[in-house]
Amino acid sequence: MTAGGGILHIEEPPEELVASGGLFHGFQLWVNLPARLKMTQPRYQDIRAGQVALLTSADGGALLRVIAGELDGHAGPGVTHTPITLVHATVSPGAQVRIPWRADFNALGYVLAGAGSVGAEHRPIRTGQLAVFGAGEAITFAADKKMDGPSPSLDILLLGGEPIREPVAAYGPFVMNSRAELVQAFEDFQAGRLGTIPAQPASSVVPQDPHPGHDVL
Amino acid sequence: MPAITVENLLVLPRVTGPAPLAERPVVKVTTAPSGLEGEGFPVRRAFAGVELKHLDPFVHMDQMGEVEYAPGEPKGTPWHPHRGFETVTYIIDGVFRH
Repeated sequence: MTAGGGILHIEEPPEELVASGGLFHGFQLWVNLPARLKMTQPRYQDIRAGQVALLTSADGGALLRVIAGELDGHAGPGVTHTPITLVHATVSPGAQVRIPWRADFNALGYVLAGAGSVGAEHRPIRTGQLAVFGAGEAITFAADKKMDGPSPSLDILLLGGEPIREPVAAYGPFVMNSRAELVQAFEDFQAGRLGTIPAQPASSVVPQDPHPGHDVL
Repeated sequence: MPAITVENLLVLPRVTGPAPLAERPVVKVTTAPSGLEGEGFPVRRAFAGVELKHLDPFVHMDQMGEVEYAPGEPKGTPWHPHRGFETVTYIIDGVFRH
């Protein structure tokens, strides 16, 4: 979702899921916009599990899901104004993966579940840890031979993008270039210029759509 | 995890190990602190403590869950505004209506 110049939104579990309870797991990433696109028109892209590009590593030991941008020439469905690559990899126990990574992008690896190592130096990494990679053209990561935790494999998110290299002024739900722009954002929100909350519950104003929202990727 | 999976990985296109390419070293490994978001769902703040120069063009990431909710427990966010960036939300287990 591109917030751009401003949106108002809500993210909630559907009523049937509230009633039943159950497993919930995911992530939300914020990608910055350059100054010239801060106030761009908002837009929304809904991506389903079947749309991601599926690849494997050299020895077939890992599933690589390209969510956004491209990896080794294979494009995923997600599109952002700022060029990025976002890959969700599931690595089998004991498997090692080496993938090319654009030299002009930064490179991060975040472990969603499981344990393994990152880099040619095999630095240990586990659930809830982030690896910051330095300059170069390739990334290496591996899953431990034996998983101690509940996850049967290493689930790692690889992400990188083209740096914007501008000042960042961020507060709460706004990411701007200066404090004055943040103040303006608050004023615009309070004046209703980022939209107003529908009088009816959101669920009753959504048309008869069998897939209301982004679920099950 | 019911993120999309494939029974036989060997049928997929392969990303070959780029032998001559320069390996990226690991600059640091950080541990994400836990917190609560929206109406109180558990998150890990993935980028906490990492300088912007390493994150740029990213500014923020929350791992949502993984959490096993009891009946009546699932939570979301109230209505809220955003300006100045783009979000990518990825749901592995469960549903978020947006």
